Amino acid sequence: MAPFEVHIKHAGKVHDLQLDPDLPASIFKDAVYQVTGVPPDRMKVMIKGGVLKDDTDWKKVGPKAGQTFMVIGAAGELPKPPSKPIVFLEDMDDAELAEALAKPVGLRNMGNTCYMNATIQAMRAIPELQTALGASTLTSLPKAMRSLYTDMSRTTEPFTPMNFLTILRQVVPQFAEVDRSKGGPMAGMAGYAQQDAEECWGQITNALKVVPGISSPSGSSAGKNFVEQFMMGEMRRELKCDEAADEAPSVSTEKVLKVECNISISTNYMHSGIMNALDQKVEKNSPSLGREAVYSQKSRLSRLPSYLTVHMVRFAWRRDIGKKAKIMRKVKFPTEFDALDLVTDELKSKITPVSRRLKEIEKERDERRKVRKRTKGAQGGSSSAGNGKDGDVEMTDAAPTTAQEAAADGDDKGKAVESSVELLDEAVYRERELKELEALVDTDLKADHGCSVNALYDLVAIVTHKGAAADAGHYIGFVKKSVFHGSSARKLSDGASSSTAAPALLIDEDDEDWYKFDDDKVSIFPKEKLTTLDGGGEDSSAYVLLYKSKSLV
Amino acid sequence: MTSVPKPLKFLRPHYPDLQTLYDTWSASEDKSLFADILSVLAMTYSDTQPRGTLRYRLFSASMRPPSSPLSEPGSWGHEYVRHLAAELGEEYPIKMPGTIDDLKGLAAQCAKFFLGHNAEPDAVDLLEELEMVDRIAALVDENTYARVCAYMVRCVGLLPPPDDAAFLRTAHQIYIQFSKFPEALSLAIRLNDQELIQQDYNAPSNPLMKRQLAFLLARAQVPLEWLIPAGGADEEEVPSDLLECLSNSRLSTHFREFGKEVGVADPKSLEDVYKSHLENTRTGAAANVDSARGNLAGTFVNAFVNAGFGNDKLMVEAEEGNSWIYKNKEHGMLSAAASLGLSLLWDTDVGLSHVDKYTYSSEEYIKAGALLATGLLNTNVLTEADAALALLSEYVDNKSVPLRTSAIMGLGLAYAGSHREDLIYVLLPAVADESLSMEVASLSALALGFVFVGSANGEISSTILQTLMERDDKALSEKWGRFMVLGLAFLFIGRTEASDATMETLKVIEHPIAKQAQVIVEACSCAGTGDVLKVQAMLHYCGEHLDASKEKDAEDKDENKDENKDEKKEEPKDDTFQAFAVLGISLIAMGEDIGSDMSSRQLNHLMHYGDPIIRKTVPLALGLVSASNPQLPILDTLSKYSHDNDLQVALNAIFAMGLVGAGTNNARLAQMLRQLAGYYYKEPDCLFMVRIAQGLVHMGKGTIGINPFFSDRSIMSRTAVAGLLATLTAFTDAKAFVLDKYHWMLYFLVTAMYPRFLITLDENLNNAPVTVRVGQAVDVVGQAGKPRTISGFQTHQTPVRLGTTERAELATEEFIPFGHVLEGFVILQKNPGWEKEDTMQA
Repeated sequence: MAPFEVHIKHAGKVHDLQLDPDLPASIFKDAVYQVTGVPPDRMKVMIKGGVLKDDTDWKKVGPKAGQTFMVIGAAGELPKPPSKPIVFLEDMDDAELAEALAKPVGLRNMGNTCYMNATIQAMRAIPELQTALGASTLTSLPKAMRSLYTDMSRTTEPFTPMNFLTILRQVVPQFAEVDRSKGGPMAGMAGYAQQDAEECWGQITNALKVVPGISSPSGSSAGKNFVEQFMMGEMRRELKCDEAADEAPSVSTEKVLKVECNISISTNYMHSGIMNALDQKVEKNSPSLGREAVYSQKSRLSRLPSYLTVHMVRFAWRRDIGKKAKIMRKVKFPTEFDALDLVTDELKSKITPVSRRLKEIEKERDERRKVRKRTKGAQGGSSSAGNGKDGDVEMTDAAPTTAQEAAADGDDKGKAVESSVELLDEAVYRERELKELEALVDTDLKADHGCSVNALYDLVAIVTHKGAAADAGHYIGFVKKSVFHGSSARKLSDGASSSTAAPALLIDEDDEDWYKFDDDKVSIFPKEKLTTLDGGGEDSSAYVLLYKSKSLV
Repeated sequence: MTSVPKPLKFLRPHYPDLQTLYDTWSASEDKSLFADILSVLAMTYSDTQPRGTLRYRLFSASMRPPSSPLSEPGSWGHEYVRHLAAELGEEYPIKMPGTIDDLKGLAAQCAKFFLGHNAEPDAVDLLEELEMVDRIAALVDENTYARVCAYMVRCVGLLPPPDDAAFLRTAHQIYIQFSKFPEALSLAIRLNDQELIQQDYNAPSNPLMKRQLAFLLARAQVPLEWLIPAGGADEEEVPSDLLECLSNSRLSTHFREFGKEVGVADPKSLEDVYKSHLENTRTGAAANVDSARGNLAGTFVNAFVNAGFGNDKLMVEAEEGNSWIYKNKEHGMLSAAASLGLSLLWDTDVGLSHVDKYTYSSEEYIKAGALLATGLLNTNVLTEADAALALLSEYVDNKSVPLRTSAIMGLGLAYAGSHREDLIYVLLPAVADESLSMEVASLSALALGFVFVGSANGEISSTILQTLMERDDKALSEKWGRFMVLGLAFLFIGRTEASDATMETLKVIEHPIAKQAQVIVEACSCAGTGDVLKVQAMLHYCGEHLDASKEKDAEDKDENKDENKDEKKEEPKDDTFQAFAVLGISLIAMGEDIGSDMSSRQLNHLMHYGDPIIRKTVPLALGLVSASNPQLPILDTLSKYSHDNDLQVALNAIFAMGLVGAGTNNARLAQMLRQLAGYYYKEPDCLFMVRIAQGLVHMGKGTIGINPFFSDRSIMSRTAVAGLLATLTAFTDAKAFVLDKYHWMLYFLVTAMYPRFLITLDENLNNAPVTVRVGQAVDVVGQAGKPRTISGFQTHQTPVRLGTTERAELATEEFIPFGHVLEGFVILQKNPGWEKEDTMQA
């Protein structure tokens, strides 16, 4: 039979071909390859009742001139699997998962150890501590703490801090106190007693004093240990006799690990409570008068640490009932704390310029953030409009509205363009601001690594106490979420280029939520609910607050 | 007595006296007239002496000589005829004087009068009561037939079985009488009568009308073989353009053009659908790790949302080496590869080649997915080359189970509703082969069910029955058994009359699976009929509290513990039939508004008092009864169920929300689902389902619906029902199927997926934009005058998208449509008598 013309249809296109039924099918396939580019071994030519094979006899197929064959097959390469297999969340083991999710884990309660759990979790909010713990020469408690923190970052399951607890009890025997008040069935193996989280906080801090400090970028301040650098303030106490005006005030300085907030009948705010504790009247034997006289003690901080611990003095010894009682009073605490009133005049003069400027800059940053959010929204809107009316096929909105929309979109787009011209990358601003602020920082303070240069603090961790009695109840730790992820971002930036750090920082700023560490249960705690921790009832009320000095960046 | 001559009114007080007087008269022509008068007077006494009007009328008629018959009843006025008609209805079939023929004759006279006086429904009702509705065909004229037929067709949903078919046939006859072929054909399709369909299809001589009918047939998935006898010689006579219409091969191109026209051609990303920035979840750091579960959900969402457009970013247009397939695990890859089929839906030209690439993959799951994709993209369309069969048949006997089942289901979906005889030889052996696993056998049965949906094919049904009898109990008790019986049930969808023999056979089989089969076959055979008795039967099944009876048994038979043990082993599996019964309720009730409302209420009761299996299925049933029709009450109910304590109920409710909103872009539903995503962010199963529901709601970016009823919600698509039912069956045990390795079962929905558009075409089948009004459909059947058929309409240019309950009408009379319902493809012809309005003013 003579060759004749047939059509082939491939990927929606029709090609004309010569078909010679006397030649084998493979020849025809080659011809198809010429026009379509589909390799013959991956080519499927549809014939009646099946696929054309290389050895198919044309006679059986009975092609006719002008017939159309359908050709299936793709030209080009086959899809390849990605070079790196994808690891799925479901396949990861705990350690990988913990790293990937970066969600902090809880600590199991081993019988009245919630005071410790809450403290440990709250202390985790000091990223510098983690770094400092990295030092190789460590003993007992700090070492146990280090291994505890590393273990915690490697798992997604609640962790049992058995080792740490044992060592803590060795180092601080008072925590090994056994509760004997309750007899009953447990009498044989009496449980450990509930302890005060603030004491625990203090004891652990004390024990951490052996941890060497971190050298500042300039390399100075060696010799100071970590706690001295970051957590310890210096208090200047001035005692003045009220009754003998001419008696020279005696001045003493001491190192303090915390600022106390006394709660009196009139205390409503943390600030006033602290001021109350700083300005006290004491009775003391006056050398000039030779009798007991009333002195007013005025304490002011002459050094502000990066991490300021505020202790709400909620447990007071009540003489009338002979018991330690809890003060339930509601005391409001700020999430941003200005400690300028707490410092000595000398320090104040050093800090004020930075502090004032930083406050202004904060305001500007806020503005920028708002603008950015708005433009982002507009851009999002216009991009979705580009997506074809956001996929809205509900044809209820007729043409005029769409036109309007489009016009509005155009406007928005215009604005977006404008503002994006106005607004440079946030990092640029930050750099500029940092320079400006650094210029303002007093040189003495600059040299003192670990102190706060601006007296402005952010709340980063809280230990709360729940219940009415001092030696009972439940402690819960709260830590600001961004602390964790900020540190992970920093970790990332250590390895990678520093450019990744900036966007990570930006993301963190928006995330204002908290983690709630109720022993082994970790949950997200919205920022709005922080005010419920003010106290005023038997529910959780703030007990120890950890403030972190605002960074200049 | 309004239209009665005044003198007669004076006779009213004398009626009793006249009656006695009448009895004394001897039969004569005068007595006949006297009886006629009494008949009129009896109207006023109908409460004390019932049916006096009819009696005297019949007396009167019987005494007339044949030469001068009694005057028409209409000459006594409308009131008299109505009275007579009412008494006729009451009387029948009790015999009074005269024969049934007399009654019928009289009824015919009355009906004629009614038809002539704008009372068509009364005429139909009267004839229906006298079981002579077929006679109406002879009485209608061109002014009345449309209203008569509309009323009759609307009645069908409320009539018990043989009558409904009789109504349809009569209406069909009338339409044919007046050369209304599309209307007639749609009734023939409802009747599922091969002969009628063929007749109607061949009746018109106008080629354009024929094309219009071809579009309708293609939408209804009527097997091609029904229209073109397999003689071979005839085959060449079918013009190619007609074949193109019949095989739906233009669907893909038109759909994409339509997408461009309404501005949804661009692909949507997952985030466009999830809109997770609006979710108020407080998850930890946004994980930049791939979750297999999350990605699997993404696979389906991407597939459903971008279905038919063939341009999604994850699969079809993925960058080289970055295909979404590899972001899935093992069986997830199967679904991912198969999602190509959905994305390239109906596009046989490009799609097959695109999918073909993946059949060379070394990964078995990808290969299997590619086979399924081949089947999927051929759904609802036919190719000349029969590509699906050629490509898939070689894998039907493959050793690998994933390849095999994918090929089988691919064939089932590709040829759904085609009744292709040659597929019996391909698929049936696997059903009967006892050496094969239940999985392969059941899926083969299911595939056959899809292909031969509503065919009542004896060969297949007997083979499945045989298998049910011969397989050992353990195999039948497997979870796959339900798909085997489902396959059987599909054969009888909409075939009430044909299922009896099968039902009888099933009663003989002892294994509990037979009970499942009975329920589902019964439900399927009455699907969409609204048969109240069957709904009651289904409710009865649901009312059996298996646990309670078991406890009672346990108490009774405490002494012989051996028996007890046996029972306990079987009983937990026994309750699957209840799941089918719940689905059955909505299956029967769907498609008819009042029935579906009633069924929703029944389902509500079941939710309160039912066993766990029933509670689990109720949301699914709600989803079925209003698929793609998000009405507020249903949404509220489902939203409530989606927070149920039983996670299974919640899961199914979430999926049902997806079904109810499928392809609607319903903003309220989308908001609900986002809220659920936040609520269930810790439950991976529920979150997975929320994602899928979100994908369904945006199906085809709002252009594709899954409601099985089309052509103004009058015709039920059997393949669509089958697809929905198969998906829902997979959800009756979600843990074993969808949440396990068989999530590809979600693709069963593909047979129900169809674009909801109106595209107007000119004589050459090119797009012809015209202005149309689109609004909510209003039921105007039986109303006086010419009321508006749509409310709250808006004017658009075609092509337009139509919601499930929406209706379109042409805005001007410039064109005359060939189709009777403006839906899908409609061919227009210029109205020769039309003049532009401004020319008239000038």
